[in-house]
Amino acid sequence: MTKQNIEEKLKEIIKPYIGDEEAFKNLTSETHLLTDLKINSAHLVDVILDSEEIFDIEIDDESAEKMITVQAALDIISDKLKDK
Amino acid sequence: MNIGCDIIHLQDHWSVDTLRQRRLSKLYDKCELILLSQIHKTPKIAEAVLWSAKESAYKSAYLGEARFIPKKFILKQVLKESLEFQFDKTPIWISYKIEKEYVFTETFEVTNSVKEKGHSFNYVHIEKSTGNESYEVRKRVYQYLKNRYGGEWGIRKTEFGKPYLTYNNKMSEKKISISHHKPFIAFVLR
Repeated sequence: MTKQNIEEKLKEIIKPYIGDEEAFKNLTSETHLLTDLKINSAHLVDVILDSEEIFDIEIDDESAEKMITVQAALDIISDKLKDK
Repeated sequence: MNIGCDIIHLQDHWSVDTLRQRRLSKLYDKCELILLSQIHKTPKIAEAVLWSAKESAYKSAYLGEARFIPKKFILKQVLKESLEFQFDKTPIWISYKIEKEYVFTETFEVTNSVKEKGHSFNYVHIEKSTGNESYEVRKRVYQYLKNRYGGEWGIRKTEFGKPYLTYNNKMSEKKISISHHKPFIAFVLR
């Protein structure tokens, strides 16, 4: 799976849970999932669960803690895909 | 330590079918799930209280960059209307209230005489709102503070998104925590 594929899929996963449309339109790698996109922690668990299902990976607690920005999420998903 | 509060509209909380094992394992330690039945006989309500309490504990004790760390706040014991959590070896006490439509939790400072009943010295406001919750809750905070103390009050956020109060444009020593879950709004002041 290419980096672009992962990014597109991640955006689709995130979209239903965002609280700030404008931040989503202007998404960059540094966009913060909680404070910029305003995904609340109750929904961040959905992002993690959906990512596990769609990419067929397991995101452990330590990795979930590091999923702060879009880039961090992409890095974690890419690493887990490589380890498969 | 700061203060933290959280409100959950039960109707809009995770439905029982999405409360699957995989979700639970992301949010809670196994030892916490054993304690759930001591909070309430209905699993959905007990879980809503536990999740809300974790949110309150996070708001109160975690001051760093926002991140997903529910399992860093571990439920240690369930008392009548209060819960004891531990975060980084520090105890955090949370009182909880279960109503027909919502559950509400807030942190409180503890002495031996108050921990059993979860008594709080905070000012608590809970309301069912008809407008935009984020706007309405701020409006209520300003109304209360202006009526009680006069002056101009504001709510600002730290670089990590934690709210704090300003009084006449200077940082206030009063502490605040805000929560809303459509259609409910809540805030706590100390």
